[in-house]
Amino acid sequence: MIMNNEGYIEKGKEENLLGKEDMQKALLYQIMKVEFGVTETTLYLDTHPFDQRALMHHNMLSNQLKGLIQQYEYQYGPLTSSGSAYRCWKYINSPWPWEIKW
Amino acid sequence: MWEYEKKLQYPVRVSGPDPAMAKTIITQYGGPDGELAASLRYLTQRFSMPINEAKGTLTDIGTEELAHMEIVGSLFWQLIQGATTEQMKKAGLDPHYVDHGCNPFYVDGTGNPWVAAYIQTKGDIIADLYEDMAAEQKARITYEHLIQLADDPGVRDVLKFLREREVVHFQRFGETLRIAQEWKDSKKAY
Ligand SMILES: [Fe+2]
Repeated sequence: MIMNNEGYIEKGKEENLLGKEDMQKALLYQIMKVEFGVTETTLYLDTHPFDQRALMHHNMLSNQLKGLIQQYEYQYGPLTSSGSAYRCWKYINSPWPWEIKW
Repeated sequence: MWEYEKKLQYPVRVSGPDPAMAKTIITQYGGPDGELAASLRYLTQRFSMPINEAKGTLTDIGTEELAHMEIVGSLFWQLIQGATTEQMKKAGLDPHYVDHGCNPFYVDGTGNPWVAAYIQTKGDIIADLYEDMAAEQKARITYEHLIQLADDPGVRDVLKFLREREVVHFQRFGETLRIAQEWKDSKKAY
């Protein structure tokens, strides 16, 4: 997996540098990062429910996460059992979390 | 209810088999201060919490601890992949292998089975939140002990992530306790 300091794939290079599996992992990794941010803002908001900056941050990350998950599910199959699948039920065949080689 | 997401909260990557490390790490799966205990403690404390901040915090931290249990299970499993019979015997994991194969199980580092007596709920917001804060500190120091024993940079990285989460949880429970105390004071002041 090719990452820069920000942990994001450099735009435009991904097709040439990464195999199909690596691209899937890269997108999954991005989802993991954004969702971790959502977990953090959620816990913070549980004890600071009126914090406007945290709310804004949470909503921004939450929207970003939705977009990333949609993109992932379209290409690689459902991330959750309620996710959409195209052509066949890819949920069972995409890599299981403990088996992924990072 | 809960819905499974087909990903770990944090990537698990090890450089090779290390059954001895796996044997120590299993305590954070099914030991007294492990992730199963943490999750079940918080989730069952929610029902009679009088304030919503506490219901939210316990639900969300209890859920995150389940994700941590999956990380610790993955770590255990990966550390056994490719291990030789000799390595398993040397690490003392052969009895575990006989009973559970390469799967993690709800035991501590010396094989004691998980028991509900590890955890508690009193149905009292102050008593329960103090228990939770103590639990987070015990989980933190357990991870620090494990980090002292680990050489593999991948293993250390995951353990450090999990340690950091316990610190954050302690912080959030502390804030919840402060809110709970303010709530109690405001009830007395009418
Ligand atoms: Fe925790």
